[in-house]
Order: sequence, then C-alpha cells, then structure tokens
Amino acid sequence: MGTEEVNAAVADAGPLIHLTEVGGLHFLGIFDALHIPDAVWAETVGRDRVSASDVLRLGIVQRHSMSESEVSGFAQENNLEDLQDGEQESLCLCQQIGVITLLTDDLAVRKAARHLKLTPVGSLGVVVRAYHLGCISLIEAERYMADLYDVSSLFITRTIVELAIEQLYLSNQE
Amino acid sequence: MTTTLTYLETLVRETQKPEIEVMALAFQAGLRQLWRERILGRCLRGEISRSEAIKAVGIDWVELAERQYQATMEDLGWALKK
Repeated sequence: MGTEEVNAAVADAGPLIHLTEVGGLHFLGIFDALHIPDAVWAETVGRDRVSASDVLRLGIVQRHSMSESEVSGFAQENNLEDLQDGEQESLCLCQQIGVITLLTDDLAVRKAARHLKLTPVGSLGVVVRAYHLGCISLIEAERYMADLYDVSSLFITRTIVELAIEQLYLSNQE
Repeated sequence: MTTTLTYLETLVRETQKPEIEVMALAFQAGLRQLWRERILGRCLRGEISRSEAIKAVGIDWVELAERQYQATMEDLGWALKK
C-alpha cells in the first residue's frame, strides 16, 4: 500500500448519486482529492445520474482505469465477488493507491471496507463533515440530512436520520 | 406531487386496476411502512426491547436498522472528529 494522500477519498457510486439528488455534490470539496474508478464513473455519470460537469467542477477529481484481471483477482482473494463492479473497483483502488477513506452508502461495502482496514464514510457523514468544517450552518446540515431520507434514493430509516440530527445538535452544545 | 401523480397514473395503467383500488393499496403500504419505522425507531431508542421489535416487524428489518444505525454513528464519529 502506498502513502495516504492528505484528506483524499475514493468514491463508490452511492454518495455521488445521493449527494447529487439533494443538491449537495459540492460538499465533496471537503476532500483535497477524490478518486473515481471507471466502473463508478460509468454507473453514475455514464447513466446520467450525476452530471460530469458538476463532478469535474469540484476540481479535485482523478479518474482511474482499472485492470479487469487485477480487480477480479482482488475480488476473488477477498471474497468480494458478490459486490458490483464499481464497488469492487473502488475497494481495489483504495488498496492500490493507499487511500484509506472510501465513500460508500452500501452496508455490504462498508463491511468489506472495514475488513480491509479502510474507513467507510457515507453521504450523511459527508454532510456532517461539511457542517463541522464550517461550510454550512447547523440548520442547513439538518435540512440536507432530512433530504437524504425524504428526497434521495438512499435507503435509510427515518428514525436513524432523526437520531443523527439529535446527535448533531448535542455535539453543537458540547 | 407531480411524481406522485405520475406514479399513480402509471400504476393504474400498467396494473389495469381502478384508481381507487391503487390508492387504497398505496394507503395500506404507506401505513405499513410508517408502522414499521415507528417500531424500529422505538427499538433503536430503547423504548421497546429487541425481541418485541422482532415480533412486530421481523428480524430482517431489525437487523437492517441496527446495521444502518451503526453505520450512521460511525459516519458521525468520523465527521465530528477534530
């Protein structure tokens, strides 16, 4: 594994799609570098679920072409064959370039990431981090978090979003 | 609202059921979902036991909610670190 870039992340499709759906794709600007494997690009931009210009406007995106044999070997070695192409490529890319933060909203990918000693972060985490870094107010963060449930296609239980918002307010009081 | 009307029109056309029947099914499905979320919410808040929640909505939903909750708390921990 190489050296971790400062504040870099690899993106799986979920956060790119869900943040786009709530108008929060620009929050990915909290990272200094965002690495996107080609299979994820194909699942998002390639299917018109995310705008290429919006992604490129972030100014931090690096696209990666992955060797099919290398990714399938990696998936086989780590029992990840049940995951989709983009998910396999994003996990593999993390290992290849030594980036430990993986943006994903998929619970199975999160589990695989932890197994590989990576740090999985979901769309909600990106919104809260944007708040923590002062990019948005507490009220705005609450609205984006609620929209992830109400507007986006992210599969999550409402109560969990409510509990997360409660935690956010508690952290603000500390 | 536009999306809801589109869904309704499409379901009526594709299922060939009367609009009133589709609306009744939608009401039932929505109510079931709200009820399930209420139970899962009460379980996560510790207001009812895990076994009570499993009895009410099934273990699959309870386990999914628990995994989602864990993931969300991990996200918060990461996001709020210095």
